[in-house]
Amino acid sequence: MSPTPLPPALRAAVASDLRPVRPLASPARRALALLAWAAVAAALVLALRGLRSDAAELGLLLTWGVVLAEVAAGAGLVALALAEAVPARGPGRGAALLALGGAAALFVALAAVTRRASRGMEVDDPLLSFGPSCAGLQGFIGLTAFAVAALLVLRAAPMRARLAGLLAGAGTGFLAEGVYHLDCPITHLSHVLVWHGSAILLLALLGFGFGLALEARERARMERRRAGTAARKGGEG
Amino acid sequence: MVAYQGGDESAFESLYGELAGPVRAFLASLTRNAARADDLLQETFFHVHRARQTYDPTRSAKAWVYAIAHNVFLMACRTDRRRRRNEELPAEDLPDLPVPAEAESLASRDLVSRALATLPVDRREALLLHHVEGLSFQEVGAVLGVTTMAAKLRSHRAMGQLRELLAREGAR
Repeated sequence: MSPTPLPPALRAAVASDLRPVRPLASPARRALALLAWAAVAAALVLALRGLRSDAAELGLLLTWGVVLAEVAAGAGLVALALAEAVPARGPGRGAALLALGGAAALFVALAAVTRRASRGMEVDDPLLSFGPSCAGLQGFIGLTAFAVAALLVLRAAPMRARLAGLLAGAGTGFLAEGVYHLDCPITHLSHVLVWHGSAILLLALLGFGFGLALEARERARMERRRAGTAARKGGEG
Repeated sequence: MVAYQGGDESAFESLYGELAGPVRAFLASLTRNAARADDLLQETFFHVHRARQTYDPTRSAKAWVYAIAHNVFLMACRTDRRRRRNEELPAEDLPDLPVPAEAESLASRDLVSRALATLPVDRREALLLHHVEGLSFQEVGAVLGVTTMAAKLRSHRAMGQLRELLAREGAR
């Protein structure tokens, strides 16, 4: 078989950018950045809004233990997103969906355990009172984490970006939920599952949309290169 | 690959020289279109260059490049699907498919190649990556974004289907 010649456009692209690069650290190590983010965010929430009013009733385990579990689940999902962004490293769609399902089940279980341990702050209508403000604040906290996660995903130049984006978005949603657990004293399940859950869901959808946008950008670049190559071949002919 | 990450252009040329042929054959087996395979080969190496920092020197460079080729193919499929579905080419334009050594004894090369072309793309990919390119099932799983077990299953099913097709052809 004759060797495949290096196309001139590819040779030119490589020659124009030959700066040395350092191999990326493992996805798990890069996801540690989100743990640092969680520590700073938790400190800010405590400094600005104080610890939830039923912390004594919940005890150390159901206050800080739940935070740690949700932050760990979120960071784990972000690590999976960063692995998915690297060719030949991703967990695959099945494992990713399983991880998302596991994190969702953990969220529901922790909400139920927290409710059993503390009635929390009683409100007139648990489904509507404080709901939008909780979702908004948790969403805002999550957005700052998402910005960090998105930068980490972008560094890997992902090609199957929608799954990476979905995992990163959901992961930052769980991270934000973990941090916000320190503040919100409403334990009623309808409040937690609907409003806190919707903040997680919105971040997951934001991540998915971010991934779709990255894929669309890649496809447009591919098309431009393809058109350029075709034009060059036409010119040579 | 490590020299290339360090900025050595000739290392990229060596990588291209070593892998362009087999990756092109792999892409041709997926697209069934020689010209399209050439386009996607170039695109694959554009991505290799852009994502070179994601290569982990402790892992297989071959699996990493094939994963990029697989993703480039999927992206191209999405673009093509928007334009028109399944671009069919006249038979004389179809490139020869690489034939697994295990299947060579079953029938003539040409017959095996034609039978391979009728397999579903996901099974064909797993079969070719393992039996022709010599990737382990773990690497095949990583390339295709599925578990090692799923990669093994796809490859075994493809080989079974191939044997069946060839036996049917032989009986005629």
